[in-house]
Amino acid sequence: MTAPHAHSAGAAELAALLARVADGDAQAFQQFYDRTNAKLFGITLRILIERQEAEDVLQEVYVSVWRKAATFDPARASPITWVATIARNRAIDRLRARPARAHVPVEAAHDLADTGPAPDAALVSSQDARRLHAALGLLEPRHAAAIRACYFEGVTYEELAVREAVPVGTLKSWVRRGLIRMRGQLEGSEA
Amino acid sequence: MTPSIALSGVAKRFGRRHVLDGVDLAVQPGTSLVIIGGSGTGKSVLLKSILGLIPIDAGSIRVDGQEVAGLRGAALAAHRTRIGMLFQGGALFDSLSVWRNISFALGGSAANRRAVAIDNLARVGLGAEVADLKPSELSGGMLKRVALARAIAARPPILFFDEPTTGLDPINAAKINNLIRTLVKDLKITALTITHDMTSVRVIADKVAMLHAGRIIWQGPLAALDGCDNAYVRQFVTGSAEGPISGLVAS
Repeated sequence: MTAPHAHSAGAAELAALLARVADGDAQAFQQFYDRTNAKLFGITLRILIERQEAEDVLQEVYVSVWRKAATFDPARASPITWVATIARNRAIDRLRARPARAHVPVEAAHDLADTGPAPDAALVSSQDARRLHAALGLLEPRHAAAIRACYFEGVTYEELAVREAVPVGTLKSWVRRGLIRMRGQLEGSEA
Repeated sequence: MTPSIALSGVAKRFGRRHVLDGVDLAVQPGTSLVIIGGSGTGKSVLLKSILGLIPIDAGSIRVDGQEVAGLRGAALAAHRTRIGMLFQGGALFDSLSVWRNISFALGGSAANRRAVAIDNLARVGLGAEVADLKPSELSGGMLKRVALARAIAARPPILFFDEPTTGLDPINAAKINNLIRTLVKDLKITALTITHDMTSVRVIADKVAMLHAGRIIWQGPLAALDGCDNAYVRQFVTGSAEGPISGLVAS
């Protein structure tokens, strides 16, 4: 149905269902779930990419809806906006809680225990940053300088070649050799 | 709430030229600020100052409450990793495959880093089949997406976009703008963009600030941009040759 007031009529129905959910009406909760889960799953999947995680978070979202239905205020937001916000925030919390590594089997992740929000993601990247800078520090200085300028400053090879007063080809080979050496160090020590 | 980025009285001079002449600016966490202004108005210098790449002459730059001026060594490196950067030229290493570019700054085994790269490719709308290609095998629009995937791979709390649509055709530019908006929203990132592309401004910005002659001459929410009665802003927004800004070339 595409009646002009379909949206607001739908919103009114969802709001009525939420009011019943707030009173502990399981049947209303089922109906609310049926009418909203596809959209909410779309949101959690888009943020988390991984299906299993998106499904886990979706379940948490509905637990929240069940518990917090009484706090829904139709004057402040439409029901779908309200639940979409819960879904987005839950998915982002989950995303932030996982380290900057994906698809890693749990048994392979020794240091996965920290489940706090945003800060630990930054912690991981600062460890990575130290590792990266240590690897750069072992290179020939001009190779490292070229890689730093390219990666951290966005300087093009052409600009860099002018700055260093060398042909572009030379500069490219500095970068290439530096990168090969870094890979040898970083991946050679993995075992 | 502590702003993610707070500038006060930031000044920078090159020779006699005052490129930044007392810039005050604050970006709240999770919001997207776009700085507009013509070429040579100091937009790039401003970004580089916040990144800690250029020392400032006066003023204060705080990122998440921490003063950037005077940071060195490991502290500076840690500061930079808090900020993901999408450079104008993409700045990909042409000798590395796409996945190695994306995971350049990440730790972990090669297999894990490759998986992370593919995860981030998906986020920018590219498939796993791109992972093993070299940058030279990609189109301009795809290169921007890969650079974007690299910028978000470490999940930085702050992202900088330097003229994100430069060199792209309007269709690809629109795609990149939408992607930036989606990523910033989905990942709750604080975003700072510099651009002279009004289309980008309208898609990406929560708030807009105009830099002119080294100062922020106007700032406000995106919705206030069109009703703004500042003559400089109006000239910039309409791309008119007539107005107080001399030498403005509509692009």
